[in-house]
Amino acid sequence: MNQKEFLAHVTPVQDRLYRLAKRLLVSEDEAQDATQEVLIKLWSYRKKFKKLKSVEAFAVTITKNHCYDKLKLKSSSNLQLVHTNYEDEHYNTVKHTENQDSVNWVLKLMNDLPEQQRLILHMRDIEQYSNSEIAEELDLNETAVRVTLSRARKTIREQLLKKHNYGIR
Amino acid sequence: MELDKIEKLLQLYFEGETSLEQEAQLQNYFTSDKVAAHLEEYKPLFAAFAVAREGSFNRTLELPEDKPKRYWIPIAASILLCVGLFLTFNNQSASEQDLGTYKDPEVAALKTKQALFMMGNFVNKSTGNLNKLDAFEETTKQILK
Repeated sequence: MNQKEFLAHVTPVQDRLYRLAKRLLVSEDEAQDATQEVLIKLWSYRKKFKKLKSVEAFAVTITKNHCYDKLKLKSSSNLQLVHTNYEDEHYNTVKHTENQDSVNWVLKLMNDLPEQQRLILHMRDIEQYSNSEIAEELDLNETAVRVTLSRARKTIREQLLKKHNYGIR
Repeated sequence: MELDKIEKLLQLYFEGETSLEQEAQLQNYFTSDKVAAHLEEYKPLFAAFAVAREGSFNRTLELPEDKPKRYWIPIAASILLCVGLFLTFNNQSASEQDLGTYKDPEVAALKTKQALFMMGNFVNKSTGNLNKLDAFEETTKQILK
């Protein structure tokens, strides 16, 4: 497999990998770094592509594991990966309408979810993978995926309504 | 789209029971301008999904070019090794067969005689030098008596 063929495989997937990395690592720079490293890892595995059922599923698994490793590394060193360490640039700017503000609020709520819920919600509602794909990639059964998904969505709804009704009720 | 249908879908959505198509319908509804007032609070949720779908990987990827593997090096090396081993063992067996024997008994006898003479000469020469030691022996005997 040469570079051209490899890129043909990878280019349609790389943005998804980046967004997944960003969901897990939160920082944009780290997500870009992680995606780059994952793509280079994939390049070294390119000979196995023919044997794979889906290159994308394989890539997602590698990305997920890579990000978890990064997070573990962070938490074992002194720097805790708390979300306040990273500032979403559009989150802190003063000029945005209330609507944009609540969109960012939702994004923040998503990042505050436990890892598994965050991952599943991201894969389903943002990347629109089917539950069976998610189950396969995360090595879970579909019921577990559905339950986790529902839990994640409900948590966000709860927080969202709390904010929405703030000062009203 | 009818409002009660959307409400039902929304309920299913939070139970995790909606299909991807139904979720797409919800997405469409909530990102449109015609959201009912009492459902307004869900707008940012679906808007956030749309926003989150936008990020993209923007680095240029530099793939490490791997060196062409030289498969023939180990093969050539093993062939050379085999040839080398073959040649040395072949030589050895050849020298084992050729023991330097003489086929003609007369020549053999002559050569043996010559060899034995030569040995005899060497032995005589070296023992000749030992005679000088007798002198020491005599003197020590005289002193020790």
